[in-house]
Amino acid sequence: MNESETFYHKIPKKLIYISFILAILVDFIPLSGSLFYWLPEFTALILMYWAINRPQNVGIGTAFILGLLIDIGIAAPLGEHALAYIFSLYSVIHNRRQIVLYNYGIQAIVVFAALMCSEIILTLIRLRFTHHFNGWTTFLAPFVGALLWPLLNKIMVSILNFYYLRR
Amino acid sequence: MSDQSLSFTQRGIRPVNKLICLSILSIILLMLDSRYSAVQTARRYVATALFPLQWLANQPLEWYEYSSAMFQSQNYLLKENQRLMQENTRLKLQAQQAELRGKELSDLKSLMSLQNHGLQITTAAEIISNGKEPSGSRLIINKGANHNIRAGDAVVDDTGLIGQINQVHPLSAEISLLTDSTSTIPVMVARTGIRSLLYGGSGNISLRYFPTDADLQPNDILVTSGLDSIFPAGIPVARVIQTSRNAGTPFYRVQLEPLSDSRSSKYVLILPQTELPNFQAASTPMAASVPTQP
Repeated sequence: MNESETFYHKIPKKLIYISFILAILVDFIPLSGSLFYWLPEFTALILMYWAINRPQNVGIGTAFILGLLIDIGIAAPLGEHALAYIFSLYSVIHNRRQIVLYNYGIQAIVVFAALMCSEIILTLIRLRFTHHFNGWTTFLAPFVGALLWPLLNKIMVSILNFYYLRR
Repeated sequence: MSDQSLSFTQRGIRPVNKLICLSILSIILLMLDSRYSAVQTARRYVATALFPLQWLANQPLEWYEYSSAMFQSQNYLLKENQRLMQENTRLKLQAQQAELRGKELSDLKSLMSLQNHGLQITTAAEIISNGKEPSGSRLIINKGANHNIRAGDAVVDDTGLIGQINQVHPLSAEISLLTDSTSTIPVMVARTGIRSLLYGGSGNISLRYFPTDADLQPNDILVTSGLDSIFPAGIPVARVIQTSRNAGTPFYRVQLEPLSDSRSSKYVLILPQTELPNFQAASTPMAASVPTQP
């Protein structure tokens, strides 16, 4: 077991829960206008972060439950985000051992692919329910999400490091 | 702490099987949602539990608005206050006149033994979430069943009709907009009084069956006709942008524009629905026509 694995093992579960609650909170902020096309789903990003770094606690089941919570919170058809999250997270979990070895640049590409997969599923479900295509601007969010990925990693590592040193 | 994930022999359910099971489950939920009452009940409980989180998520915007209001110049506020005072006076005058006319009308109607449709008491509510749905066909407000809001109530803002209450939770409620594919609204042309039905769908509204032998012009305003128990008569709904006659069909092809901008409105009014007479089944909330009294 290398040092990074022990580092992630020492993290209390409480921190994982808090990060999920914060991500959901950010996703619930009712931003008006065109801004919200740009913002990626932070819940999906945090899910991927923990699925890569703490796979023994966060898996497809967690993604399903969080997806349902998001669906209820934003009044979407029940199961829409759940379906999108489990598929995107599965692709990440499946290749987890490789992804951990990559640098942030390549990880960002993987994250982009996963977010895009989730976005495509969401678009298909919306098409099924509203018979209306919302334009290509919705596909901007995965790009922004991928660009935020290194930043998110840095922030999380510094927070976790703080906890690690305090113990 | 056990180290399951790092061992090569996997225990428990394999991720693939988990994926298949859960995706089938979510597809079933997608199908059952809004059709099966147990799902709705479960949804209501979770929505109540999530309400504090939604309230909290709305706070940054509240602070932003509050602070931007704080730093507005005194001059601007004075001007705004003056404008609002003038408007208030004008509206008060109009309301008095309208009341007078309403009274005359109700006298006439009671002479003719027709039904009266007065203005009901309204509830104001704040939109706390427009959802992350890009189609934006659902909104969440901060009033619910505890504030006597019922599913099916009409929702308006200062420019016109926004939609209808779709689901009621104890502390919050979901609005489905005019543009939702399930919405059908009985409307009439304000200028001529010809009635038709307005359908939502595909992020827009359409007047599908408006006969070409009737008169319809651009810039006509469509208002609710009041021929149901849901929408009081006379709420502005949409403006006609363009009309064209097509050979082969007896109906106009009409381009419409909703009058209310549901994306920008922050506060809405909820108009309670009138009680249906006992013999009328309340099964179809949309376009359920009120029978005239014998």
